Amino acid sequence: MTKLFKVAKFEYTRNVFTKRFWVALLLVPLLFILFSLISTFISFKSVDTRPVGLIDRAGIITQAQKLKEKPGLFEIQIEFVPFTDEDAAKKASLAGEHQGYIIIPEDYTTSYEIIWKGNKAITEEVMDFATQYLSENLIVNETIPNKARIEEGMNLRLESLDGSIKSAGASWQRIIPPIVISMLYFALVMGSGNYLLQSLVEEKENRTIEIMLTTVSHKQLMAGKIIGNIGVGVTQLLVWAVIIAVALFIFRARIPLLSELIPDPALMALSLVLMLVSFVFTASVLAIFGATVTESQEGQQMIGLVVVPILLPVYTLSVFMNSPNGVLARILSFFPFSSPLAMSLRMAFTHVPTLEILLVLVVQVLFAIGAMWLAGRAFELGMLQFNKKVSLFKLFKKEAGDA
Amino acid sequence: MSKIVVSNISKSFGKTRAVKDISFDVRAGEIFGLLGPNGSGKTTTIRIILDIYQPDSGKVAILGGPMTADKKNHIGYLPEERGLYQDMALERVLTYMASLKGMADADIKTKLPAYLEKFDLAAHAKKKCKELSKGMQQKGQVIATLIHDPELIIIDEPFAALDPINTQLVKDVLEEERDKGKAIVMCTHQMSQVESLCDRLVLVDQGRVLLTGSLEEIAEHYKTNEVLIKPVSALPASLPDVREISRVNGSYKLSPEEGVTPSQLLETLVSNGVAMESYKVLVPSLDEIFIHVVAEGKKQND
Repeated sequence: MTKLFKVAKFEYTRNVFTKRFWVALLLVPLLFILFSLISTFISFKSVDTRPVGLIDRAGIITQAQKLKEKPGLFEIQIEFVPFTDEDAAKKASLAGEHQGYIIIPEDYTTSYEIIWKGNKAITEEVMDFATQYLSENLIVNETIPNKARIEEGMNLRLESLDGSIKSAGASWQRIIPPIVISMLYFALVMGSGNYLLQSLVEEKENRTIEIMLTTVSHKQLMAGKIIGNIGVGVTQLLVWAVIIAVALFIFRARIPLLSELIPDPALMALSLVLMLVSFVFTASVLAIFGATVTESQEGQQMIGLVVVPILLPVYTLSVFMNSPNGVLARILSFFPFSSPLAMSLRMAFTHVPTLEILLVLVVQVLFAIGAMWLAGRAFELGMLQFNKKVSLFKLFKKEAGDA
Repeated sequence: MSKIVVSNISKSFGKTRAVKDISFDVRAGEIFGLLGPNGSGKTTTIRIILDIYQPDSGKVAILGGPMTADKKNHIGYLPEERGLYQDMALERVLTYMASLKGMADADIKTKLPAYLEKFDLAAHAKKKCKELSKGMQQKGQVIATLIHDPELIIIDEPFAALDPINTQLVKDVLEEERDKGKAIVMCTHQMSQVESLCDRLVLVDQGRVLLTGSLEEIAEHYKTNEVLIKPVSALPASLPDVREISRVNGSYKLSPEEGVTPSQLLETLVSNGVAMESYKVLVPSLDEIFIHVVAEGKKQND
């Protein structure tokens, strides 16, 4: 076994074969649930409650919409305003009075497709109300040929108001998989990224680094640590994947929602590639911190600097829902820490031009290469500095060091 | 045969010249002292020898040529800034370090218990390093330096945290290694240990070599021919061949005129009827030579 793999094996076993690792492994899903609740609450507060226009070309809406006079504290109601003329509905939407409008085409009873027209994605709340309202009308309609089909719900087609963007609907079934992937990415950074950072700081703090550097090369040590700690992360992901798979196997039949998840292969592939590139960047940044600080406590503080920008898309979820191609969403797509989450969300909510996706990937690769170069430099300069930090400025200087 | 040959190495960090044209060699079967005050360039020199730093000029031959990955397995290094993985059991840390030095698992399983026994650490092998005393941790580090049977051993302040009993233990181990033909480089500020262990030494300060040679050569070079006598009765106010007489704890230190040897001085004292209880030729201690040479070096630099 080469020294590189001995280092990797050591890093892996010292983390995985501990109680601390397994406690953290099981605690993280609980934290995710907490984050999800907070995120849901923030989203709830920013839900668009403006009315929605409704053009019924199929002539199936015979029942008046039943809205509660006094809805509950967190209960949202979306009012459907009937239109016969599409121009009037469009005008109300462009004026901002309505979120958009729904067209029920003449062939609805055979296609089960409705059209959403608006300059932002249809929200889950509008979808829920539309589904419920349509079902109520379809059930009482004696002329519907295939009543069993009603339970499967409607298909959705999206169009912007000027008709320039058209796509299939962004249902929650499409959004859940990238969000789960993003959460796993976050866990990967928090897990193996954190272990890597601590491992580097510990070599300095315990004063083992100089012995190590006279036994293995800089590259072997750094690569061994990265491989070992990625192994730790992969173990975490596998354990969670097994938990998710077992949960799906047990509950899929009982909870219909789970059977409706639609993993989009292209979206999943892009998310995974972006995650990988972004993880290389983030791990390199953590390695820079590890090589330049002198105590593990400082390293822990540095983790916060990475966690906050990674989660920016979660904090600004409503922006992604309402304006997935807006300026902030685009900035966060190019920003290397937040790129995987931002792009996954945008692609789930809307159509992102291929050229932009490629540009984001190229920029992320460049960021990753730059960060790796800096990490190598920081390791070279900082690992034998036991009592003082190495400034970032020094990393760019041609000649630096201490006697 | 020389295990290390350092030829005219220099190294600067920015505007600071850490090492200036240093040369020396270390032979098999000797303990070589690398001495110098704090910040004198010792650590930089060792890091250049061990290929952690590249010299700006000059070259180092180690175990017969440039450093290679395989040669690292034949070197045992105990740096001044040293430690063990605190959250892990001593036995596991030492096993890991030995395996990185290329030792087979079977060899480690045979040798490690013997070393732990020898250093009185067998009962503590399963304890986390942070639960061990400083001295115990240091003995663990000495084991990590020696367990793979290195040809070349470089140790920096090996006695720093040790009590007299463990100091003697480590000294005995180092002498055993020397007797097996190992080359040992030792850095320490404890001159008494240098005097009792080192065969040859080099003294560096401000990155330069101030002094090099065997202990006998150095003592010979810095001897002053002064003698310490305890006379039976009071000494005369002046004596031929004696430049200066001073009292030292009930005895007299006599500084002879230039060119007068201790034996000539003894003859002079006897011929002048000076009766003595004791007569001793004063040899400067390594501590005194160290202080003197470093002070002279600083004067020349100023």
